Amino acid sequence: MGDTLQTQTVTKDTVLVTFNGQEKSLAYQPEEQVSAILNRALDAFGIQANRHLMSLFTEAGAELPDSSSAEAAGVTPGELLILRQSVVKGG
Amino acid sequence: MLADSFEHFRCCGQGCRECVVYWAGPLGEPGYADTVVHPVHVATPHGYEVDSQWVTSFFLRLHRDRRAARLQAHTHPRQAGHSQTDDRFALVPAPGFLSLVIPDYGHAVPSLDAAYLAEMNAEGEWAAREPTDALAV
Repeated sequence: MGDTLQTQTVTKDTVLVTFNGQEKSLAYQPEEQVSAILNRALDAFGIQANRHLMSLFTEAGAELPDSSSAEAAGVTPGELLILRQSVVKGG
Repeated sequence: MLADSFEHFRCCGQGCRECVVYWAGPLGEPGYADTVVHPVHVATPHGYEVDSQWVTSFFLRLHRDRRAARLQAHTHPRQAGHSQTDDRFALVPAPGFLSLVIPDYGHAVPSLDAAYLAEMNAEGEWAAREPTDALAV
């Protein structure tokens, strides 16, 4: 009998993030902060400007709190999130 | 597209308030827009703010229909330019997005005369473009 190889499985779920019509699939862990997912989304879409003004929203229009964990914010695997400016205005 | 935009500016802004529209096109055809979208927004003589729920719904609609917003066009009371608010709170702060500003609340014959156009570059900064060179309307 050979040695038993023991491995630790790290579970990574994915969410879909849409920004201006485009879509990216991003891996996340339930315990990581929303801000970490947000930063990955900003990188994925090549957004450099005013990153601190951007947020993730649910399809129902709720803004996810940056400092919450994904799990606490109610993010579920496969969910579609919207990346957008928190406020859109001009003048 | 330009005539439709000015029609919204005239009807909504009434020559005394700012107004905003977005030009959208197929996701697979960068640089092309075929629809003018007039968002739910509030406006004053010196600014506008788009309804938050509308923004979310619009992005969901773009995703579903495989389309993208290419340009935002809004009016200013007098001279056209890009304010700090325009710089910071555009609908799509991403490279290639265009921001067109129309003077005099757009209460004139549809034209790019005296308009101001900016494009966001790869560094996330707005760079001025010549409207009549950049837009085939």
